[in-house]
Amino acid sequence: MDINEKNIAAAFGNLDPTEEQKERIYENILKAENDNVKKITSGRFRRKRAGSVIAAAAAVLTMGTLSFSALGLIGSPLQLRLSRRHKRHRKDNRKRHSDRA
Amino acid sequence: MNAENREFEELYRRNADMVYRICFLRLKSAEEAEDAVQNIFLRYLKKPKEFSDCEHEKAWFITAAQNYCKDVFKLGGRLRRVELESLPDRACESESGESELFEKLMSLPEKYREVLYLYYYENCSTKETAGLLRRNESTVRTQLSKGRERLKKLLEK
Repeated sequence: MDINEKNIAAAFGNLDPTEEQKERIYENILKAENDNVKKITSGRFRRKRAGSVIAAAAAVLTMGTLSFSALGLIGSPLQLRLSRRHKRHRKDNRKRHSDRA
Repeated sequence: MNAENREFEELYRRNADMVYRICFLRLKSAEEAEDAVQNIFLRYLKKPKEFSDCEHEKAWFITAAQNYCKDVFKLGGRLRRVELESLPDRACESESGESELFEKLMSLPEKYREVLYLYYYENCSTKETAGLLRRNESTVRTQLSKGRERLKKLLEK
């Protein structure tokens, strides 16, 4: 198929909304303006958006719980390792003091 | 109906198709495009602008449509995507070659689609297109030729 200016323009022409759609949109705008609505979202969109918000919140909660439990698990050996190092340090200090004395 | 309402209706009739097309091109969903048109015109109603001429008006609505689509992507992306075969019906009613070209156009990357639309359908010059899309004029020219090239390749497949 040949690509030219006319073809491309005609293809984009298919995107136009129908008269019915345009009327519906226009009525919605006027209604929203009268009701002082700030933003319009269609019902299905809103439901889906609410669903995704709930899913995101659940994901954050799960991740939080998991990371806390993971910290708890790795916390103890970490603490152990730190205290061992601390003990070694204190021992070294004591030795150094006694040597000096 | 008062004069203000009549004025708004005229403005709506002049620009609704264009705003819908731009939003559909970017969002690829009829429902989201409808929401977008509603919100853009509602935004205009809340804060009416004084346009110096038709070109100024057109440019404002093009920019508003693009900004709105960017916001949609920022706030959660394309939540609802509709298969191209189901949209719009008139594409299937028209000649098969035309609908094939439309399908291929919609499968092009966004940057090429936008440039091709503004240049061929809205009859904007490369300079105007560059201004509206906040791109360099030479970038627009390159994207136009690359878009055409890609379209040709897609149609040859």
